[in-house]
Formats: sequence, C-alpha cells, structure tokens
Amino acid sequence: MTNQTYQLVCGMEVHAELKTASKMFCGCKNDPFHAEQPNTYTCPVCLGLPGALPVANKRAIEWTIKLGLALGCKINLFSKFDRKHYFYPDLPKGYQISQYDLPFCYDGTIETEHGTVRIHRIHLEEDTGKLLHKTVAGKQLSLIDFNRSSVPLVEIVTEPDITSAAHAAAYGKQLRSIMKYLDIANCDMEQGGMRLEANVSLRPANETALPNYKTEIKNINSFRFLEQAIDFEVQRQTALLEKGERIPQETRGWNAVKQETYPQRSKEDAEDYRYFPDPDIPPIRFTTEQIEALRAELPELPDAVSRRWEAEYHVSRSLAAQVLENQAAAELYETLFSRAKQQGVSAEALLKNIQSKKVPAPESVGAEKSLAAFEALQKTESIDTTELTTIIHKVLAENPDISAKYFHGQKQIIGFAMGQVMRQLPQKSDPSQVRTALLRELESST
Amino acid sequence: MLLDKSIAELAGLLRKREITIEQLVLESIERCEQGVSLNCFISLRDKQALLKEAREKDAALSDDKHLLYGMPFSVKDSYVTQDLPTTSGSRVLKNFISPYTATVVQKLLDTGAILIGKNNQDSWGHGGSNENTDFGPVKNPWNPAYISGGSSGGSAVAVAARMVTFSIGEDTGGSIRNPASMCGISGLKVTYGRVSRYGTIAYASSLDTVGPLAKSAEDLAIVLQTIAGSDPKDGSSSHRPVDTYTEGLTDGVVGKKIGLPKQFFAENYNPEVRSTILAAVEQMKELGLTTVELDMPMLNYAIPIYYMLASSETSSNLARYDGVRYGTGRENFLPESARRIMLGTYALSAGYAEKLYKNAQRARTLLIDNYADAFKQCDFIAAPTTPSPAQKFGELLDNPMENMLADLFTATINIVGVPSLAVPAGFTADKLPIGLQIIGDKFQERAILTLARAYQDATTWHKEVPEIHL
Amino acid sequence: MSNQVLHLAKLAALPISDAEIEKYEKQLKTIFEYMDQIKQLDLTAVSETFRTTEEENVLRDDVVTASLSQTEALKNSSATLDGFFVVPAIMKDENAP
Repeated sequence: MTNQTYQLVCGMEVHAELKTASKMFCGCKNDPFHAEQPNTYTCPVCLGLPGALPVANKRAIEWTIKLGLALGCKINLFSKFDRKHYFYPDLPKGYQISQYDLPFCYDGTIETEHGTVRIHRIHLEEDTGKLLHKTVAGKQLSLIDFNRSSVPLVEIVTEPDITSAAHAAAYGKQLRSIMKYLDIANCDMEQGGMRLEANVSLRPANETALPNYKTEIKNINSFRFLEQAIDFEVQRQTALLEKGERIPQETRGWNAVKQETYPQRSKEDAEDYRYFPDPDIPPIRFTTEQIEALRAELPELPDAVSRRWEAEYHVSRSLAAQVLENQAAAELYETLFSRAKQQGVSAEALLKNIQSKKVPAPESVGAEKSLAAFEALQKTESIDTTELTTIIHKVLAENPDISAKYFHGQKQIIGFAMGQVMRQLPQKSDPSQVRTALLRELESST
Repeated sequence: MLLDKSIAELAGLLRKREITIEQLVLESIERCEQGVSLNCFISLRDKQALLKEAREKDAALSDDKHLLYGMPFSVKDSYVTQDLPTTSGSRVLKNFISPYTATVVQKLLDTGAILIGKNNQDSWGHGGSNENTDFGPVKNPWNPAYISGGSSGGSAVAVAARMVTFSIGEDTGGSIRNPASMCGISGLKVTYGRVSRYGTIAYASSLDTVGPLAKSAEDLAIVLQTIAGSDPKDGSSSHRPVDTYTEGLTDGVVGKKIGLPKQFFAENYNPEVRSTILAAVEQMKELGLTTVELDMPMLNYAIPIYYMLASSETSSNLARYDGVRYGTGRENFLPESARRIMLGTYALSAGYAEKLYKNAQRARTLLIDNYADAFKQCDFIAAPTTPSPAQKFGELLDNPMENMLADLFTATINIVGVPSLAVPAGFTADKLPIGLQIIGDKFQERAILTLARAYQDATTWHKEVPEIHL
Repeated sequence: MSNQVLHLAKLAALPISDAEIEKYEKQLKTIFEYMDQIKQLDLTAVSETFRTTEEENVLRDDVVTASLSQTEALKNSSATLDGFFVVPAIMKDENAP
C-alpha cells in the first residue's frame, strides 16, 4: 500500500494561569513574572513546609466555572480536588493538587473557522515552581524558584476533533481570545502563562476508529510552533506508517531551531500518579442557582458580538475579531458603530480606516472624535464620478458572477465587488461613495 | 510537688500568691532534669530564658488571666514552632526550624502558658512504642525496662512524670490514648476537625487529630476549651460552635447507657487488661449507668482498613521530604516509615487502588454505619485502650504485625472520626498501668469528659504517681 | 515480589539497599496477606468515605497576605544560590533547544 493517505487525529491540552490576585491555595501574591527576586512570593503552603495546609481560592474556582459556561460546558455541581503524585524538584509537596474524576466543567465546544472542537473537560490545579539550568564552577545545576508554585492553572482538554495544524492554531487562538475577553488570564505564551500540548496521531483516511497510539507534543509556547510541530509530526508519522512501522506512545518536544520534534525523556519512567481525593480540602458543592448567577455575570462573548455587529452594522466578522480583544474595547466600538449608523456612515469603512491608521482609533481619542475624523476624511477623498463608473463597468464585465449573485439575493457579494473596484481606483477613495455608485450601477443594469 | 496538682488548683494558688510561676517553672525544669534518662524530650528551652519568662509572667499576673496562664506545658515534636527545632522524631528533619508556629501551640502561648520543650515520639507518628525514633526510645516512668507506648510517648511520660502540667499529642490511630494508658494518665482524642491541624506534621490527613494529655479529665477539659475551634488555615476544621467543657462536668451521668461491643470484649487479648476494663465497667454501673451489649462486626476489620488508609495517606504526606527546601533526604526514613510508605504506594498504585485503597474507603463506610447504629443504642462505648500493657523494649520493634495489632482498639475510632478518651483504670500485678477507653459520638467531647470526670471522682487510679527512677 | 519492592521503592523515591529488599519483601508479604481480610466483605453497593469532616465549600477570598522573606524561605535549605534553591542538574536533554 503505497498510496494510502492518512488523516490527522488531534486533541489538545492547554494550560493557562489565572490572573487572580493571590495564589490557588495560599495568600501569596500571584505575579511570578514580575517578581524582582526569586522565592519572594512564597509561604509554608506553597513551599510545602511541614504542617502547612491548602485552602482553595474562591475566585479561581468561579473563574474556571465561568470559562466552562462560556464554552457551553456542563458544570459538576459536586466537585473536589485530588492529589497527583510524582517526584520533581519543582513540585514541593511531591504531589500536585489537581482534579481527577470530577472536574469543574465538562462537555463544551469552541467554534473556529476550521470547524468545531468539542471540549472534553476543564479542571483547576496548581502550577509548579520554575526550574533554571545553570553551570556554576563547571558543575551543572538546576535552580528552583517557587514564586510560581501554586499559581492557579486551568487545563482545558479537547476531544480529538482537530483535523489540521491550522485548525489546532485556530482553536488555540479562539480559546486564548475567550480567556482574555473574560479577563481571567493574561495568556502570555512567551512566559509560560499559556502552554500548549497536542496529542497527534494518524489514521487511514477512510477509517473512523481512533488510532491505537498517540504522540504527545509538550510545552509548545507559540501558535506558529504548534502548527509547525503538528505538520512535522504528520510527515514523520506518515513516513513511519508507510514503512509499516508501529509508532510508539511517547512524549515529544519541539525544537524550534532544528524545526523538528524530538523524543523527550519522560518525567517518570512509568506514569503512575496515584490520584486520591485531597483530605485537606473539603469537597465543593454548588447549587444550580449559584451556577446561573455566574452565567448571568458572563459578558456577551466575542463570537456573539461579532455576529451581532455583522447583522446590525454590516461589519465583517474577521475585521470585528481584531478589535474584540477585551470587553472595554467591545463597548467602545459598540458606541462608535451605533453613532456611525445613526449618521449613515459605513461602520465597515470606518473600521477599515481605523485599522489602516488613517483615522485615529477610538481607544486613543474616543468614539466621537474618531467618527468625526472619518467623516472629514471622506469629504476630501471623493473621486471623479466618470472614472468611478468606468471602473465599475469594467469590474462587472470581468466578474459576471457579481450581478448574478446579487440578483439571487446574495447581497453580501457587494463586499467582494467593492474590493475589486477599490483596488483599481487610482487614489484613496471613500468606500461609501463607491458603494453607492456600485449599487446604482447594479440596480440600473436590470 | 506542685506539678502533681490540678491546673485549677495551681491557678488558684497563683492568684492567692501562695506560689509563683517561677517556682512552678523551676520545678518543671528540675523534674525534666531528674527524669532525663526517660528520654521524653527532643528539645528543651534554655533554663535562664524560661525563668526570665516566668518572672515576667509573675509580674504581669492578674486575676483575669486565663486558667493556663503560667502553666508549664510541652508539645509533641510533630508541631512546628518558630522557637524550637521540629523533627517529628526523624533525622529527615534534622536542623529544621519552622518559620511559623502551629495554630494549637500559638493558641496556648496566647493564654500565657509556658512552653518548656518538645517531646520525643515515634517518627512521623509511625508506631505505638516510641522506639521508632531517631532520638532514642522513651522509657516508661513506671518501669524503665518497658516502653512508654506511642507515638506520643514523650508527651505521656512528661505528664506522668510530672514534668509539665499537660502536653499536646497527636492521634492518628491511637497515638495519644495508647501512651496515656501505658503511662497511667488521661489522654483525649478529639472528633476529627474539632482542633485545627495547621502546623501539625501530617501522618494521615483524614485521620490525624490534635489533643491533650493530662493528669485528669478535668485538666483535659481546660486544655480542650482553649485549643478547640475552627481555623481559617485548616479547611477540615469544624465550624460547629465549641461546647463548654469546663463547667458542669460534675453533672451526673445517671441513667446513661454504656455500649459494650462484643468484639472488644472477646477473650483474645491480655487477661489482666480485660479483667481491669470489665471491673471499670462495673464501677461505672455503680455511678448509675446501665450497659448494653453491642454487635459491631466491622470492628474486626479495623486494622486492615486503618493500615490501608493511613499508609496510603502517609505515602502522600511524606512525599514532600525530599531534602531540597529543608531537612536531609529520603534515605533517612526508618524502616517502619519506609514500610508504611511502600505499603501506601502499593495501595494507591495503578491497578491496585480500586481493590485496596478504594475498598478500604468502602469498608470505612460500613464501619461508620456500625458506629451510627451503636450510638442509637447507647451514649458511650467502653473499650480497652491497648490489647496489652506496656511491653519490654524490642518486642514490637522487629515485629511489624504485632506493632499493627497494638492499634486494635484505638484505630477504629480515627477511621470513624468520633472522640475517645483514655483514663487510668488499674494496674497489672507488675504495677504497669492499664487504660480504659470511653468513646462518644461525634462532637460529644463534653459527654465523655463528664463520664471520665465522674469515674475519676469515684476512683484514685489517676492519682497514682510513678517514682521516677533516677 | 522483590521486583515489586524495587518498583514501589522507586515510585516512592525511597533509596533502599539490596540487603533491605529481602527483609521488606517478607514483611510486606505478611502485611498484604493480613490486609486481604477486606476481600471477605461485600462492598459492591457501598460508596467510599474519603473524609470524615462534614465541612464543604471551605474557600478563601482572593486576598494577598504576607509571604515569607527570601531569607526565611531559604533558611532551612542546605543548598542555595542567588536566592534560588539548588539541586544537581536534572533533565539534561541533548535534543532540547
């Protein structure tokens, strides 16, 4: 079988540090990236000193539930924390407090432009300390800083629904944008505030059963590396399968310099985490009313906002996505677009001009001034009508599809037509003028 | 001897200025020095510093001070303290000085009680003989050829030998009651969560309890009143209001029922212990109590359940001792601890957890049901504390099974979480103490203290003092 | 069984000597046999009791409290450098970038 084609089967595990003020199980400051000195945000609890006991951070739990609700998850009304055991110098207690069989959230979805990804579960745990490797006087040493120890960490696990490297990146970006929008995590990938893992395996294109192995690519810290690593794995695994070889279950890392994945020495020879419920932390029980109260606090999410903007203001969703970084920005642009609509100004054109920096952004000058600047610009850029009409005729002749689709009710084809026309205009022009002219030509051509 | 008096008596004498705190502390220091061969302390505070503190406290004494003000006390070395090293009886924690103090110790210090030193123990609470320690075995003050019991052996000896007014022990499977019985004093294992565990070096977190050892139920009540209550730093500590333990303890117990589980009174243990406990039950009948026989078949499974759970949790709790942030290294655990860690690791490991760890938790549910049924039929349950009086050194050390069975009558109580206290009930022909256990339902500390008080008002076993062999 | 003792010791990070293996093996075997009594119980319909505290939802507000100073945090460690705890190099990975 030389021409067998394979398809990617991929699921992801994403860790993100929550931006609570204090740590997960103690009152130490949660700000490991800005600490001036190592081991200054530590206490008996997060250093794992004898006799110290953890007490869970209420806000971290509420934020985890909110994230779950934002992703359409179901919530376990009864939940608990468990101990996950392994030995590593950055894990002070010899176990990590995590959640085993009763995660706070399960069964959700994330929509991406490459397709839906189902969320398997979201659980809350504590981060480890940070290791630094250094050679001192010829000796190789590992240095440990526990400022990050016990920082709240959510883990979002998907079903194996991801079908391409681009799909994986789109999922990760969407997840990050939601967490940032909810204002629960900074998701700083370079510093490890958000860490990606992809479970990659292949199956023959015509099969539906899950492969009997998976390769875990760990600790990826950018979406570009994620795509590169998955693409590399697809090629590597395809080559092995074509040779008829079995692919071992293993953990691999990504070497960005060599542009390849490499087998990683596992932390444990055999992973046997010996989970059991942490006796120090009483279980957590929610009422349906409490969950509904958290749901009511959720903002309208970026996805819903961009759908609504498309309907109300004719702003394309890809354009909208670029300003929907946080709730404050969403509110600001909402004001801007609604004013623009009142004054008969195209929100889409306005946004494009803001993004191309021809019009000052409302973030810096406010919605009112931003709109005024755009209106002023429009006046100066009206163009010769005859020239415009000539170009429109040319575009419509070269793209007969436009009229056809337009008259079949696909009014959004106007956007494409405008793009074609604008590209051929000799100077920067007012999109609303172009739009009006284009519509006039289309209507009159019947 | 001042230290033979009750806490209330001493507090009265202090307020009447008939004695001073300095006298009391000096006597405590002298008793510690005289009994040094009993080896019940791992660390002692500096003599001059203690006397200076005593004089300052004398100067500041007023009638409104807490009853424990000025009382010399000690704590098991499983409680972290900023001022003295904390070892948990193990070389693994050599030179460890905690940057914080356990809640229970802080509460006592806040009353003005004076910490004299920290007591020897089986390391990590692993043992019932106080031989499993890196600081030498603790000797029984009644006969130094015998063990003190454990794991809070040092605490029991310090009280029995009248070196301190009371001591704080820790009880996971009998570690307060066992040495209290073997040394002829009173010891209270509280309801799980009644006293904060913050700053207690964990043995098995779902079983560990913090409690006092003292000369009498009356003294136990005073200390419990001080240390009980919820602690925001211990999530498992109970939010229930704390009862009044120190008043009305002489209220009658007439008409109350004592349950006698037939599993605790079979003829399968030391006959002297059994006959002594049965005599104690007769004595309690004379106080106006009635008895009812109970059948609690799950008691026969207490040891397997206890060891499965305690070992599992201890394998986890002791994982932090890697020698990186403090202490030495994992090579320094004694064989008893290494065994328990391996047993627990096995019980939790992939493929076995369902059969071992989880089945033990299921069996625990059945044991809890047995106790719930029992307390529908009676107010108290009576039992021996240990299957035999104190053994000679070495008898338990190399026999892990015998060591386990020493917890036969005490461990079931920790699995269920109810309170229980041990009180002296007699002596063997060789003059070794025997202890009676009085078990109550959850948060019934007041009830069991009341019964123990009534029993002690009618008996003198708790007043016998060992002659320290110098 | 001696393999199992070795495996357990490794999982529990307990350095034990060859001489000790045999001793532990014998002792653990006796203990395991004793523990097997639990097998006599019918536990099929019984749920687990993991803890006896009746408390639930014991949570803390997200408030920053005082930490230890760096000196205090490090004072019990036998090996520190520039404010860090130090261990011999771990995970030296030839392939890692």
